[in-house]
Amino acid sequence: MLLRDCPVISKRKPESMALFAVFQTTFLLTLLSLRTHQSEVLAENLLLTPEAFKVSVNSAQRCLHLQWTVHNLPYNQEFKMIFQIQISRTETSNVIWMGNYSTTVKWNETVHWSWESELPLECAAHFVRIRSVVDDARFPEWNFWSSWSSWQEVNVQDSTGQDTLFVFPKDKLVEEGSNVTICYISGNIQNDISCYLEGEQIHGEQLDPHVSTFKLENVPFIRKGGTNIYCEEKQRKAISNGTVLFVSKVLEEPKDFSCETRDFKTLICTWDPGANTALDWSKQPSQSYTLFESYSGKKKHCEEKNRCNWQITQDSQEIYNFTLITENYLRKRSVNLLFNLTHRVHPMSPFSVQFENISATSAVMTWKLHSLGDYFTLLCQVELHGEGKMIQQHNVSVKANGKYLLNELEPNTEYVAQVHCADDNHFWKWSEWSGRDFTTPEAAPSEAPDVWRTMKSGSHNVTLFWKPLSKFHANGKILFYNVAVENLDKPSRLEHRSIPAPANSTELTLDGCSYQIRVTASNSAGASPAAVIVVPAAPGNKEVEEEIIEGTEDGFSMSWKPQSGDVMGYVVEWCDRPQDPLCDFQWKKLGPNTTSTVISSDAFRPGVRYNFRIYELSTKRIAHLLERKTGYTRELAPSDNPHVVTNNLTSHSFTLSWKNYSTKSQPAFIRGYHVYLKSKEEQCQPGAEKAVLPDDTVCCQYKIDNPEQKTFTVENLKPESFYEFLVTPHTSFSEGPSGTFTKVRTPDEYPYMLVHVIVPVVICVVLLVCGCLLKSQWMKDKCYPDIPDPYKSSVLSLIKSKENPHRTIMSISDCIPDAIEVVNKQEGSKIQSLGTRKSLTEPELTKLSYLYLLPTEKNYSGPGPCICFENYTYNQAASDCASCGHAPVSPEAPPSQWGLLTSSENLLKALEKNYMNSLGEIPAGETTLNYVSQLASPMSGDKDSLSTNALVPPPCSEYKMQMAVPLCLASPPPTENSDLSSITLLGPSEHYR
Amino acid sequence: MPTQTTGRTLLSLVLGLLFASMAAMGSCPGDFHVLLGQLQKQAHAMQDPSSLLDPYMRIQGLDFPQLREHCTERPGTFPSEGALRGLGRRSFLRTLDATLGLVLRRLAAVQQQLPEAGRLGRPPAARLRAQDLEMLKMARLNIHGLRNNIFCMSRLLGSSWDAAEPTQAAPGTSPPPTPDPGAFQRKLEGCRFLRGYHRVLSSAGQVFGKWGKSPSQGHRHRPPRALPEDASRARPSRRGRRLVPRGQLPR
Repeated sequence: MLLRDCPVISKRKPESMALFAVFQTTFLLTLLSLRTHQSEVLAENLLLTPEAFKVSVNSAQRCLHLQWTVHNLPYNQEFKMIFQIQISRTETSNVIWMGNYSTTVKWNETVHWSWESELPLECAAHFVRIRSVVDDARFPEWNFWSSWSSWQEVNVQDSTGQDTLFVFPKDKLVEEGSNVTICYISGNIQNDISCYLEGEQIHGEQLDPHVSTFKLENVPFIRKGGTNIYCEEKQRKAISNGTVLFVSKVLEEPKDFSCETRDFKTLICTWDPGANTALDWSKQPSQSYTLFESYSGKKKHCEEKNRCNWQITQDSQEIYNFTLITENYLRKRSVNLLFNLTHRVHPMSPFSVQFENISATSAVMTWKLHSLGDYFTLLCQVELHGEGKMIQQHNVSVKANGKYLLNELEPNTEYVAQVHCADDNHFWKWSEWSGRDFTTPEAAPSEAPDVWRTMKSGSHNVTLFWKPLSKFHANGKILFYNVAVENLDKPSRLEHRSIPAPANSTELTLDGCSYQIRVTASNSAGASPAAVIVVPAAPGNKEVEEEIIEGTEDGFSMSWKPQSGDVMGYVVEWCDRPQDPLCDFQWKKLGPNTTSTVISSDAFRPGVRYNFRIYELSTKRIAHLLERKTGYTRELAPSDNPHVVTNNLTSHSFTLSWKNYSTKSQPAFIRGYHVYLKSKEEQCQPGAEKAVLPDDTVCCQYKIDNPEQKTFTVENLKPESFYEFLVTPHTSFSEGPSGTFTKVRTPDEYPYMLVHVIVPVVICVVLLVCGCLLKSQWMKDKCYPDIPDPYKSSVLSLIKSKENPHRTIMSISDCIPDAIEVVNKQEGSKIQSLGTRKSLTEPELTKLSYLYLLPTEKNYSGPGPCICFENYTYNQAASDCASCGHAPVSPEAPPSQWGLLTSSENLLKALEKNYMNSLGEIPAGETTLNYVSQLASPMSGDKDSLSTNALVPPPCSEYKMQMAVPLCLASPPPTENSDLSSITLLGPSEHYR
Repeated sequence: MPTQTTGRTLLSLVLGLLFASMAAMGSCPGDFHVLLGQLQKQAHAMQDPSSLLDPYMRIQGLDFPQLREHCTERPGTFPSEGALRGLGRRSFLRTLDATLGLVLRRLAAVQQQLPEAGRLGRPPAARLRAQDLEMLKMARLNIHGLRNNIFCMSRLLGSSWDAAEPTQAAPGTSPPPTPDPGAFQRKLEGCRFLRGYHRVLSSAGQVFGKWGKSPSQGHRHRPPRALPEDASRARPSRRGRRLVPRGQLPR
């Protein structure tokens, strides 16, 4: 039960209280004197039961207001009484609260008392009754309870019998974190009812068949529009009713409450208001803020939520005691602030900031202030900023106008100077900054540029490099660089060259003399001191061996040994990007006593090889190469394997070559190579050792420790075998990637011979044939001259001579040769090559037979003479196989031809026919005959000039022999002698096969 | 989805401002079809619940399935589509204008009950509330724009119509006091009212669509007597009677 929120109405007026105080003692004494004889009467008759008992309701605040009087008190007497109150819910027997209320009561005075219900009063009927007792020591006889008053029923909502569902409380305003009880009254609705809070079902307890209550604890703030609670009938699926619980954020105490003045006319009070507690539907506006000043007693309602202006009156009030009060419908809070006005001065920002007498190194800053009165001294703080950071800070005491000399400025520099001020006597707050920027003028560069040179070996071309001067030394914008070249060997005019900035190099072509070069940088204010460098006539750079150094991520640490005593300093030069054509040339100059340094650069990258040259600068400013270093900041594993070419592949070896592989462009120092060889052989060759590859395969590894050895011969291999190889470089800590193996197959030995023997032979033959073709006419004349016309032959002249009796014709019958042998020679392969169309698989054709022209007395056993001619350009059968008898005949030859060839006439006819056939197409398969020898003198060529002694050839005469020999004839192999005799007959040069 | 909503909102804002400024300048499109096209587009854009109902429900905490399900139009609050179809053109415009006027007043009353977000609540909730409040403001501007076009259309149809003068985007007048049914019921009534608003705009869009399909409506500045409606109005007919929203709006 909550009692504090219900307003309890006072039971007595203030004036009666004062009167009571004055006469209390007198009255009590009088009472005491009367008490003895009156007590008995009162004890019986004075009934102190409360009368005129009324109960009213404030349903919004869930309060029951009770009022009653006690009539039977003696007139003008006050009694200390206790009233006992009982409150029942739903029915009188259900007492939910009972308590005592002690107070002093006068006769006929109305007593008020309130009670707040946690349950909305609409949810159920309430019943109240009261009784009393005098709790006064003066009247112990009255110390007994009166009888109870009758029950007073409080019934706010009469919903019984209605078909409407009600949800209470309606639009209740509570503070975040409160506990709230709600209820619904279902009236005559019989269906099940479910209630939801922001979509989530809530469960309560049933107060009676028509009323259920729900206790919500620590309710949160959800939205300004309130938390929706609604109930629906499950069966109808209809929203029956609902209510909105307006939950307000807890009103916060204002934070950072502060007041200050900037002009002694207005006090500006500010604070952090915290959360706005306003709610929708005008349930609660934003919290209000009120300023109250206790000394003046003035109050001001603040229009804004976080600040309020208070007008300062001219009555010299220095001390202020402010109370800031904030309140909403649920809560009220306040904060206090006591201060002296002069301690809360926040000056306005300075104005009219100016700069006077700006030089390259100083400037005078002036500013003005808003007046705060003659007695105020302000402390001003001057700050000088350059390049985004504060450089100087100075404090100045100022009455009205401020002035300060800024020193130690740098030429050609942009500065920002700003000033702010505060009360010098009682510091409260700085004013806002006021400032502006200014730029100092330029001055001549203060330092000579850093100059170095490169010289191409073998020439007099010198490239001068210089570094731009730092901003500190440049003292302005460098406009150009002056280069003056002076010949030291012979007097000559100085050569001047002006190079506009921002160039940082120039190239000079000198002759073989010594030169002194002076370089200065110039801006608009003047030139810098000169940087001097001497280029000797003969550079004299000796060959210096390169030393490998180890670099780190921080750079290369290197040291060197001084060589001469008169050293002006040392220079280390290198390229930041050695792989680029422009190289990004760099150098570092070091003092004469320095013999080591660390070269670092942001451009250094792992896996890039950097080369350093260390020069010694003599006092004559001549540089001598001292040492060379090379190294990597970090060596990386080689990313590529060499491109390997296989050479000299034999059946037992091959050579690998990777001569194009550059060791100097690798991301690490190449220490050598590993050659991996895979084969079916289990054992590795001498010089190799077994190695296990990352894929767990085993192979043989050859190690090459010389990085410049870029060939390798794998030997002792087996012919006709497959091998796979991989060449990978290795560094001090890793080797190249495990790439793809290349396959090689060793050839067998026979093809090797083929390649080395047969091929040249074939080439020679081809060349020979080509030559023959080119010289075909010559060959034809030499090897197979034209066949004489048979019609022009001497034989024909013999035939014709028969028709001419006047001529002396030698009859063949008249010729009695002693012997004619036909040479039979075994040259089957040649025959084949010369165009016979018989297959070489027929063994009988591997021999060539010469037919006997005339029978000898002893050896001849055939039926008649057989004349054979041989001419390989003819293929027509021309012999009578029967006459030859001892050889098979081609089945293609017509049988009629055989008979025709049995006599000389037939022979002639056959000759004639064959000649005619030779003019036409020679049918295939009729190549069974060869012509053998028609003798003709190349000297005459005419039948008329035919020698009568034809069988006796003149010396050195050429004869053409024709012979028709059926290839099918297998003559007995002639003897060597017969062969020779044939040669004898035909002449040595005309033996024709 | 938020992008679509924002785009649609932007479009409707532009449309609303365009037509509001048009009316303020005293110029109306003289072409029937142009004006009709604009009316159709406005009705189409404003019938979308995301332009007004959804932000309203979010502000009031009604965007829960049970409540959304029961946020249905209360019959009789707004004229039905059939009733709107049955009206003559000028009567239809008057009815629509009166309906929109009612909505404007209702919206003004609602907005008066909704303080700005300020620093209250968790930042995301405060941001969402600020966006929704902004959409409510834009919805009012759009309604003003639509009413201005209705005025222009009525002039184009030759109607001397005092009630449909161009509206100015001014805060609505306070509704007369009524017994307080409680904030929950007022929220719910507002939801139902806006549901009806979107429905009636959808119906209006349908009616405007019919106008566009009718070939006889393309004339410009048709004299009042030439309109078919005038013939029908010559004889007493229930169809010619002006409909106004009957529902008592929750305030």
